[in-house]
Amino acid sequence: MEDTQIVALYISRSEGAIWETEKKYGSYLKTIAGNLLPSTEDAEEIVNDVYLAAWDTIPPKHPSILKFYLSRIVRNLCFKRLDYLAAQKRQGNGAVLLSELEECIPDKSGDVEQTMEAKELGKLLNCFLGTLDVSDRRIFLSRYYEAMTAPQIAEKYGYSTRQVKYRLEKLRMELKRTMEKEGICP
Amino acid sequence: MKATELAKAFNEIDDAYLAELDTSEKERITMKNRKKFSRILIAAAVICLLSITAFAAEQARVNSLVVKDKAYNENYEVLKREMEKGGLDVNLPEQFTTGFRFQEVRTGEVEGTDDAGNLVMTFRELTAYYRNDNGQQVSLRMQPNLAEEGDTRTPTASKTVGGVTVNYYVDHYKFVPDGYEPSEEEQQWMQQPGNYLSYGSDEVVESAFAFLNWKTAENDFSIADMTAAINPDVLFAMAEEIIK
Repeated sequence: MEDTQIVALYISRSEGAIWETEKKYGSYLKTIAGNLLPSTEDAEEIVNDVYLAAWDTIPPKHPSILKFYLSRIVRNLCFKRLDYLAAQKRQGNGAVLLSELEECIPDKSGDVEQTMEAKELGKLLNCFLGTLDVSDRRIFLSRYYEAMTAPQIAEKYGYSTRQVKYRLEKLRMELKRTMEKEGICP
Repeated sequence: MKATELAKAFNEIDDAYLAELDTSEKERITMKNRKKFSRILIAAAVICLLSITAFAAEQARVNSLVVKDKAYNENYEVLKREMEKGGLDVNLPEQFTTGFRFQEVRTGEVEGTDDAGNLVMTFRELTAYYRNDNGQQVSLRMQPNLAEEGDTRTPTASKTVGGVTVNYYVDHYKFVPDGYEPSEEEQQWMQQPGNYLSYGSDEVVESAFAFLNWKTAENDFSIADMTAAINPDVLFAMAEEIIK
């Protein structure tokens, strides 16, 4: 079923919307949640929460690309869950991903503004992505948007895991330089 | 700044970049379809396709249906084999005389639960996707006849093909901004089955979706045209080819 039709089901308050969403995107959402969260139970719970959030927000929202709308929700919910799990010291793969992103953040000892609105930071990320070629962009977003592991990315694009790790490290350093250049930190 | 803030900022990534991930996934499926064939066939061998496989289905009061597993395959031979295993005695060609050519088949295992959440039925469904040279796409969904309550909509057109009634429906949606006040005329329009007013868009947009539906004693078929731009005669012609 096409996204427009699924969205129409949400808007007409048909429960079939959730069924069709799960049918079309359940596996994709479970992959993201499963890669970020430490247990299958956590991931399944979050994916169910995504369906509920979609039900609660459409309408008034009318997403043009449902997949991206849902993927943003699942990421938000996963990071919220990770914050909660951090207190219990059981973050799983999400902690690894966050520690990698920590490397991208310039020296935090400086006194310039270290916090940016998510939208501003998003603009910077989009600019950064625009400087990359498509293959690097895919690898980078597969890791930091879809939360895929290096072996999964290697399998997806036909690289070795070592190549993927090397390119991710290189891209993280490039992002750090970009952030420094933009004055996020000295 | 915390790493979680940076991670969350990835939600602002342009859709165009995210769409590149989809493209590559499609390529990957094409590249590796050989590897996937065997897995799908193994699954098909152990599950009785398109027939309700379990439980007292004739008494089941199904509250929800959820697809637990799905797989895509771009090989027409796989579609044929899946149909044979499911006992589907219909003619689903690789290319229809209308010019629509097979693109891929999706299989899924559907689980039905009752009000208490008990599993009351399982079945397999097949959806075959076809596209023509003009880029128009239709999908044909095939699942067991679940003896659901009848459709209250009045078909736009009907034909009897080989003793089977085939109905053509067009659902009309008018997407409108929040706070939109429907006119009296629109309120009357909304009362008609198949017409829907939907809030949440930036501007008023009208869309239509077309379906050609028919049932046999065993199975339920539906051809979907998500643009409602394809001449219904073309869809009826396809149904005639499918129904022997």
